[in-house]
Amino acid sequence: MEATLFETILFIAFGVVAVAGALSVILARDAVYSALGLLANFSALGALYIMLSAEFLGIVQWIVYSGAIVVLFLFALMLIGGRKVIDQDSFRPFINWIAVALGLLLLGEVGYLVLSAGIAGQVGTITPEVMAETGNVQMLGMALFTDYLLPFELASVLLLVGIVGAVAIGKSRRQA
Amino acid sequence: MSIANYLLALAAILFCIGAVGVLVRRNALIISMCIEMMLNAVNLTLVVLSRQLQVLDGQIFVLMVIPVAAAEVAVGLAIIVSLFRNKETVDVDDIALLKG
Repeated sequence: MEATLFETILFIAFGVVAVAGALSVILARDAVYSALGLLANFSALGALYIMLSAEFLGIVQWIVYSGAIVVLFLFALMLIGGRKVIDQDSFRPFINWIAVALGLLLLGEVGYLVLSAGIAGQVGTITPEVMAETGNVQMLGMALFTDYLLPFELASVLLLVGIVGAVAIGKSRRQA
Repeated sequence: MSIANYLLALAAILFCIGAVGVLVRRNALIISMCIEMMLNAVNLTLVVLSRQLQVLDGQIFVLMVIPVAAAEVAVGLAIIVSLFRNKETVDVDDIALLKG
């Protein structure tokens, strides 16, 4: 996959935003700032999807993740009482350093694999040109409603179960 | 080395930041945010490979992951809110009911 200079710059910019958002999620003291970092991370990933010619997924990422899920997190924070969750993290330097070391070890292993190994595998027929001609949404829709119809319907059942479960758990006991 | 390798490395970085966050933070809300970040990193991997190998399956897989993540957040946040109602805390160290 080649990229022009402009595309490379955009890739780097969105990657930096994604990593900065991720870091602010785990470093921020105030949980609201963590939610905002999460928003930056999700939005940058949506932009990367669009650059990788997965336009539909990019839009879905923005609507579902940046829109719905971040707002859900903020709602939960509000119900819990935003300020009350600040500084509840107990300070445990020793265990934290072990966790960071383990994370770096994991990063080293995975990073070595993805940077040293070439991406092998049978290359399919859907080149970016074919995708641009037919349209990403149309191709995804065709695949989703023919080959992947059963998983698609099962996903909707899963969402229904999720809704019922959330309502059942969230209902206070006195009303039951 | 093509740009796809660097994007896979970016996904690995995001995944590891999420994993460290799960280990370091004690706030149940932040932990579920970190789990979402890890899911997103894997989604990025799938999209990059789908583009690189010129097949559509990766994108379909991401479309299946997104409802799972949404249902997980909905149920998880309901659990956290009802936990807060009962125990007045979202610190996972204070919620050790099974620890004899």
